Amino acid sequence: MHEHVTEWLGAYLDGELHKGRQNEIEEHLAKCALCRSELDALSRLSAELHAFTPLHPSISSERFTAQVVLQLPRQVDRTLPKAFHSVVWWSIPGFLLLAWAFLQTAGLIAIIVTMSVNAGLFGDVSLWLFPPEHHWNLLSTLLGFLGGGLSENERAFLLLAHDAEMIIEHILGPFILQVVLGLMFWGWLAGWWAQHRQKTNNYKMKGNE
Amino acid sequence: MVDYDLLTLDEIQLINKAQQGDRNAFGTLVYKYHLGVVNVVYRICGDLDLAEDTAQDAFIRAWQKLPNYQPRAPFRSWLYRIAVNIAIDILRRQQPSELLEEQYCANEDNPETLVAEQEQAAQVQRAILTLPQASRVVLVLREYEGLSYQEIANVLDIPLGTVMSRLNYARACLRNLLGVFAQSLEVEHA
Repeated sequence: MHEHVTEWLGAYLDGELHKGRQNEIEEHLAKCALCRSELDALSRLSAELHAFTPLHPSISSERFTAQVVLQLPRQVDRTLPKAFHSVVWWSIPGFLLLAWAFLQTAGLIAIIVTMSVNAGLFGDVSLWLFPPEHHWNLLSTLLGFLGGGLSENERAFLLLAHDAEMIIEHILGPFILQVVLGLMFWGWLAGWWAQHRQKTNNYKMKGNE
Repeated sequence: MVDYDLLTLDEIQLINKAQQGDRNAFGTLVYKYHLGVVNVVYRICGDLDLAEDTAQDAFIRAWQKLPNYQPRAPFRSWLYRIAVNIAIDILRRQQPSELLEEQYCANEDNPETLVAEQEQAAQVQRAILTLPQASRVVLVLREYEGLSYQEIANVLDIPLGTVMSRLNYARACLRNLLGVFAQSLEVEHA
């Protein structure tokens, strides 16, 4: 650094430079009398600015505070929004867990019932619980009526569509729901962690005052 | 009105209480920052009585905006931002009033020294008042309230580089006005 560093001297005096720049300035100051003089002048200016303090305000801090507090406008149920927000925030993981538990329970019950039906435990009641899939029968009947019967390809397509519907309805659907619930829970956890870190940083900032 | 027990309470807790409507907690914050806010406004506007009235307005406005305060920045920076904005509004509406030398305290033992020091203090404040508003505010926040450059940037919502350049400009102006010059350069040329 060969040129003068006068533009950095204010920040140097205020302790606002990072270590690298500070070292550069100090190295330059060791060699440059002009910049040392400028730094000295800045120090004297700061001293002069602080040489005299204004008279204390006409009223004491206690009286000032009392006057301010008396003038504070009435707060209209300020507590509710914050408390309500807090209750809602901390209820989120509870609701997510309940939803997940509900899904698991419903899935378990469906498995048990299906197995029972397959084992013939429900007898004729199973016809009422699990009616034939009318829309598929109607569709194949309609196609048969229109086309004089289904071709092999059409039949294979219908079966494939039927299987796909079964997969989507009974496997993929619950899976996606659980993934969404999991993501929501992790999202809430990330939000809580971010707030916690922010509060911790603020405590640290306060400690630096 | 001021609960001195609350003075030891963590500031974050005070703010939380005040945000929930606790006037005592807010009063504690007022007590803590009263002199700082008055000082900032006074240095910007040059009138102590006006500064006290403005400081009251600043605290009342802070109370009204307190539900919106998020602890991303120090409370002091947020409060000073409100006070500076009010002070700037006042400057736009009126000229800085004549300074009263009596506003300055000094060596009370010697009346002659008292007068001289009061005059000198008034000269310093007059010099500050001649600065452009933007530079004046930055100088006041740095020199009289000790805010860091980043805090000043947050208060005024300006870049860090702008803080530095305005501060350099303010100091250069004040050095000329107050006659604070670098030592002779004869040493360099010797």
